[in-house]
Amino acid sequence: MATREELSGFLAGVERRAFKQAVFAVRDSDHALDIVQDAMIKLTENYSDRPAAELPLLFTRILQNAIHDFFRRQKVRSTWVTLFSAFGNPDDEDGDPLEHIEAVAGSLEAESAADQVSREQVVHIIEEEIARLPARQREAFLLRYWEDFDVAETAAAMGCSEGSVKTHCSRATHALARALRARGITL
Amino acid sequence: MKQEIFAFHIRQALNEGAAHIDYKSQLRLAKAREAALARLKPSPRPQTISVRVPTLQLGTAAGPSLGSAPEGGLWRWLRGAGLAAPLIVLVVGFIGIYQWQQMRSIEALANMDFAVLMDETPVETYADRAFSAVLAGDTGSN
Repeated sequence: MATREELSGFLAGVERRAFKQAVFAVRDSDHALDIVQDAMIKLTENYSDRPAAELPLLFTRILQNAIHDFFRRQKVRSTWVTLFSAFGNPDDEDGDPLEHIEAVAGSLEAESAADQVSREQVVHIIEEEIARLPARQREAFLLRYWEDFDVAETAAAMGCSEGSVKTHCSRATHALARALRARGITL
Repeated sequence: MKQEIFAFHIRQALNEGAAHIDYKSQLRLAKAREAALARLKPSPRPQTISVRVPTLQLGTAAGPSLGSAPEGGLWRWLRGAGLAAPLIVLVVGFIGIYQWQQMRSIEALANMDFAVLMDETPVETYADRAFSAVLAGDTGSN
């Protein structure tokens, strides 16, 4: 069973990455903070009796579920708005909202060269491009390469097969590399 | 391998970005953490475990008693008696059975002697080898 100190230390260590992941997904700091807070509360209320070693995977699952719940609520809200709006689009499709999150079409003005921009700008561009990745690809990429989960853990956190994780990671890497190259950044 | 190297660079950039979160967000994250920890269930207090000591346990030989039994001499005597009583009953029972068997044997021999003396023994009895053996033993012992 994780002690209060272990739980506090774990949350302090993971909160920034969790916040960033939520920002990449929902693209709004306030919503992202709410999501992280919900995830933290769910972890302490329901899983504080688990060993400390299990906390990272549990928290990741809770966070991903909180993000999915956010999109579902958004979809329900937009459905009601559509119903009561004379200007609603009748061609809305059903299905998992995560599958329909399209990348925001930002201006892709290519930078002249990576060495002409400051380090902060490079980081900002990378974050922008990660936020533009399709949701599942971004999720797999961040869990695998930022949270340092192995393929099996990533699959467990995402609720999909290990093969899907590998596919998502590969596609995310190629898409990210292509997008960064287009903006003049070569890693 | 190339993918791993690329991912490593991205990871460094992401860590750098996470390290420079604005102050307002940092503050809200800290508050969120405190709010979550405030809802932490209090850890259960350690419970007292009571262990029952078997009645027949030899107190001093088997180590200290963990139960709430009195430690006086009478209690030790009673526990010793509890162990010895079945043994005593067993020995007395064996002696009783042996005595009863002896009585039956003597009584059977007496009946047989009485029948021989009164000449009430059937003629076929004398043809029996076992009867001859009994008579031989009987005369031998006399």
